[in-house]
Amino acid sequence: MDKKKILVVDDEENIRKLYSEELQDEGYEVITASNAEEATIKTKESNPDLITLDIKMPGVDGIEFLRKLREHDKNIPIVMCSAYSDYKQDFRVWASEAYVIKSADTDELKSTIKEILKKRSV
Amino acid sequence: MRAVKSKSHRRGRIVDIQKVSEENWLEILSEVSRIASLTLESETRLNLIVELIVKQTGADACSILLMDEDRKNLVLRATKGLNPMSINKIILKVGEGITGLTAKEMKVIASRNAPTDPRFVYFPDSGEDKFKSVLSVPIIDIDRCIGVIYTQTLSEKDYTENDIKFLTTIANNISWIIKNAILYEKAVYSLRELTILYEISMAMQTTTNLDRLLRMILSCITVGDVFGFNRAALFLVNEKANTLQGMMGLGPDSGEEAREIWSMATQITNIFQWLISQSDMLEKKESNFDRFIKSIRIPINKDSGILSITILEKKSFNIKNARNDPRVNIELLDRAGINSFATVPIITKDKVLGAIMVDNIYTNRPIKDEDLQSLIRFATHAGWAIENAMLFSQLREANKEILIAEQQLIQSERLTALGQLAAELAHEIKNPLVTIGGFARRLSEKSDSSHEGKKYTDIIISEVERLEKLLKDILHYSRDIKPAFFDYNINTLIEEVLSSYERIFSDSGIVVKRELSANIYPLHIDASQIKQVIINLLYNAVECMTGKTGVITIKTEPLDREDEGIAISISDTGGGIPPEILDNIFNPFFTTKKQGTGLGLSLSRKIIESHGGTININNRIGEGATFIINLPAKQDSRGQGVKGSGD
Repeated sequence: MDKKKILVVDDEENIRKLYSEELQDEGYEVITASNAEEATIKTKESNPDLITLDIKMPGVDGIEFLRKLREHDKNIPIVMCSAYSDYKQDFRVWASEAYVIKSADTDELKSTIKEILKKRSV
Repeated sequence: MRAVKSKSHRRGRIVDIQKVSEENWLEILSEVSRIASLTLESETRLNLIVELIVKQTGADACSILLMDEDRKNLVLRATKGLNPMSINKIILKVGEGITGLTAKEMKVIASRNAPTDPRFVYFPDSGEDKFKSVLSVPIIDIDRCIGVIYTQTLSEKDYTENDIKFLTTIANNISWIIKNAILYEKAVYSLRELTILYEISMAMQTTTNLDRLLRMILSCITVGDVFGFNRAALFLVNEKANTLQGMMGLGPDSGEEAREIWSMATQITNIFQWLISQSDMLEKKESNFDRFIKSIRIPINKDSGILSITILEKKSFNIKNARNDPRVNIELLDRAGINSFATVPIITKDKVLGAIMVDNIYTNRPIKDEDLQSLIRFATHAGWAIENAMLFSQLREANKEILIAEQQLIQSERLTALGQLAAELAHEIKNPLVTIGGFARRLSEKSDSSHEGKKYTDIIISEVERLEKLLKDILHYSRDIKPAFFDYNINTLIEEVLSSYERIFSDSGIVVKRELSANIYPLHIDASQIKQVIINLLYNAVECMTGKTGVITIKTEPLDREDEGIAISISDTGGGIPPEILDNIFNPFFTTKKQGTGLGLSLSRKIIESHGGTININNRIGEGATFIINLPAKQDSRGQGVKGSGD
């Protein structure tokens, strides 16, 4: 079975780095994007199996990116990653698969990704 | 000689009188005209007339009695020869005595020896005991008697036809002068009444405070030249309850007190100034009459007595014999201790605001219909002023509500701003923190457990965890608090809290008093949040009483409202909250404690508000503070708290 490909979208370089290393350790292939435009290109180019998406980013934010992406891709699972839970109540994030609050402890993120991909592969 | 002289003198006198009737009439008429042109004032006119008559008839005394307003009594108004102190004091019923009979039958009565006349009524202080003969003539205006003029002589005298004709003619000629004088007096009285009404209106416009105004109105009615009623009471209509409510009673409690006040009242020269000073005496001693009036609540229907009928029929009543009047509420009558009184409705536009009741309990002076007319005119002015004051107080009430709403808005805006700031700050801090903690974890996982560095990375990890938790708390505060609601008995909850803090109380030497009402409904609350509030408030109470032995009283009671809510109050004896910080204590991050986040009270308020309740302080400086929480049994959609934003 091929390595699952994950696109990490976050404007913070060190977060991208942390997530990449953590997810690579889990056995995923990780590509990163630092903003919505880059993420759009990388999604088309690399066709990832899952995207982790930061919400608050300069320029087009995560929610807007999610909306545009869903216009032509209804399937790709998205995990929203935010510093806190406020956007959980925003109905626009309901178009994502999951909502994870950022933490130094990445266990929740990893288990959420694992679960989603497992469901998808069945 | 002597006889002849005397005879000739007598003849000469008769000749004189005949002469008068023929030659000196012009002089007398011109004299009367002179009096008429000299003054309009009745007292002077009457005095000049009696002097003229004494001079022209050679009588030893001449007096004028005039009918009073009710046309029942004759009052001595002017005299030449009788004791001048008797003026206005000698009062005769129409039909009583020689003069009374003159007035009643409108005919001349001459009596050679009046003291022996069975019709004679003797007034000891008048000094009339020395007089013998009386000639009494009615003063007639068109067809009714307006008074009596009479002459008296020291010696017995047989009145001739000429004597009678002379006095009758004078009486006929002066009747118009007297009538004019009376009309003038009335006009002066009305003018004075108008002036006073004007001054009263002006005074009433100086206040919009209903209590002050009512006191002013009642002061006018009880003291003053126009009304001068012994006691006055004011009632206002309570539309909701459809009752007439006693608002204020003014009047002395005893005859003695009454005399004291009236002697003071005669010194009033400027009614405008005086009224304003009266209304300043708001905190004046309470009278029994005032208490009695304030206790009165009368349902407005036709069977509840005269006051109620005054309102319903918009009419005034002058009740002269209350005990025999079936419309009168006997119970109230007995308590008021009167048998005659008058009521006047207070009407503005088409609405009856209330009624004024007056009596003369001490002087027993009958209330005249004119008094009542004046009072009705006055009531109109009073009504406008009362309506104004009521509108003003409604306006002030509305304004107060707006102010409170504005303050709440400021408070919530402040919280919103703070929430946004906290969120932004958290966002800025959180990302680097995640990175620091994340890599520390990686470092810790990758390093050998025996490695020296692992100890340090574990410290970093746990410190980052602590910071992350703190951020979560702040964000939790700045975000909506969504309580989990279940039905809960608040008393049980309070007991739970108190039992777990018993040690702290006893160690601090604090006595906890419970006043928990058994008569309360279960509350639909998030028990853990409400518990937190109670802990916060207890903690505050303990804090402010450190070093002193204090008492904490925790009390629950049902709210007197339809929603079956409950009031919880926690009082301490810690000396109260300094006024300069009172406005701030609910502000987030405000604290006077060395160790404290300043979130306790603001969080408490947020929790209570998210339950649809309120939290207030009753601060008693020098004593202590009471925090009062009002919670509805079921929270409604209000109190959703304040949302933060950010990522």
